[in-house]
Amino acid sequence: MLGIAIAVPTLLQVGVSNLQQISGHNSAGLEINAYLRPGLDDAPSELMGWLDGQELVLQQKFISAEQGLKEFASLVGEEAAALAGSLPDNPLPATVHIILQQQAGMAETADELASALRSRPEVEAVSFDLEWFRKAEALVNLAANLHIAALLLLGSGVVLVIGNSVRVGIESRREEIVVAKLVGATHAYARRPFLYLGLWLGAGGALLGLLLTGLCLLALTHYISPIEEAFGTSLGLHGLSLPAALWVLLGSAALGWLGAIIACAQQLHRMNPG
Amino acid sequence: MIRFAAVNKAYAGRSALHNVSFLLERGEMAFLTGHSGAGKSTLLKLSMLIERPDSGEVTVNDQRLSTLRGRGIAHLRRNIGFVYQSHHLLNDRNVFDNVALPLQIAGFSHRDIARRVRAALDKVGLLSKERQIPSTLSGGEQQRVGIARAVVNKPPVLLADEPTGNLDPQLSTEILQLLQEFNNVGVTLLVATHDLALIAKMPHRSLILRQGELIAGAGSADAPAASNQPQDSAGNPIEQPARHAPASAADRQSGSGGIT
Repeated sequence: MLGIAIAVPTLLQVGVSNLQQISGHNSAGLEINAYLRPGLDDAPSELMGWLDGQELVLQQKFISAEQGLKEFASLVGEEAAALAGSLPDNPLPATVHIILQQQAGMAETADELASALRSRPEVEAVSFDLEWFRKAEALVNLAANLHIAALLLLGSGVVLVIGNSVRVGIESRREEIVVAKLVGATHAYARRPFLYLGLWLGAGGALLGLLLTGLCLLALTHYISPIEEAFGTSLGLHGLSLPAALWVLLGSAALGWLGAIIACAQQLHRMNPG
Repeated sequence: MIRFAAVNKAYAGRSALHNVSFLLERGEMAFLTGHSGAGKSTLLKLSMLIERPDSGEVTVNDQRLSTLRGRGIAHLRRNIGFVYQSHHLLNDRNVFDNVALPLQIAGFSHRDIARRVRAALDKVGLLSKERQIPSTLSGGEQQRVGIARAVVNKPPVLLADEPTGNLDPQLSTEILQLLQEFNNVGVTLLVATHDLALIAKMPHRSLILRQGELIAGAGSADAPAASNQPQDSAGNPIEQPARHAPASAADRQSGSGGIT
């Protein structure tokens, strides 16, 4: 139970960080491609200068028509490239590839930038998928919020479960506690072994949870690798890093400690001689 | 050493102690007697803050108990040995560890603990039984383990609540002699008992409670006069049968002593 309560938010954390990575790949932030009018084979200095002045622009790169053709060839394979090469004219336009600075609520300002680009004389067309960007952002946000909700719910679950175990432990040692108080034990002295109990239960639960997380990821990798092969790409599912695992361990131990403090506050004060 | 000043205590509206005042001097030994329900246990509980008075002031070891909270209560109890009728020994550990408990709590080193526990067990004549579990010992032996635990910390004050309650007369006398020996080396002692035959054998003041009121033995000034025959000063019919009965245990069983 304790292991599962810890494994679920840990798995979600792994999932969210992977999702953020995937969406981060596409937008590092967001990209805009501006296709220039045919015949413009040199970087249009006016346009580049204008882009330099835009706050939202992180990086801009001019790709000439010829360069574009080469990239296209490397993407689609030699046969298709040969086909393209057999055309009398290079069908690809020169392009300015723009990477935007990631910032909150950037979807709107990016849209404004795209419109401004469209109205510039050098630019024939602008490709910018605002809708996709918005959807991806919303999905990642949803996952992150779900993750926080799960963390809160299952975290309080850990506190309650450990608190209850500690309560049972206190009850089973009632006689000893009463006698200890009669011969001069302070509340802190009577409480100490139970705080350690909570700490160890939390840490033990974390180890179990991490083990479960590892097994789940192993199983997932098993299912994901055929997909990766089919698409010829690597999704690159990342496991839990060592520092993250340590945080899980520490966090869980702290929750166990907290559960024990609560249990002791409720139980030990009632356990007075007399 | 122990001073009660106009102490009142009631449980659920029923008075357990009414306007009780007395002074027990440092190094003095006294008995606390009276019927069951007369307030003996309540008085002892107030002395070590198991209960608090509704009004009045209790002072033990020069500490006004009303001022003590939390840690202060714990430290007060480290300076009071308490011997119970029901022993309150822990049967998940041996005699040695039971006696060692107060020292562990007070933070003594392992070496000091071993030395003091053995000295206390030697004093009560149970050194050879330190490895036994208390429940395997006889009633008298268990009571002596309880006494060893109460004195292992060398407290200046020793309280005993019916320490001979479950023992036959001979064992009772032995237990009281043991307590007397601690008094001889300066420990202040207050022994609650209704074993009047036993009291009569010892030259100590008796504080007599009746229905929550202290009716005799209040001040140390009347201690000499009252010391040998506390019952007389009380003029209390309750005391009469017990005083004339040599074997109080038999009396108790027949119920003729009116003592439970």
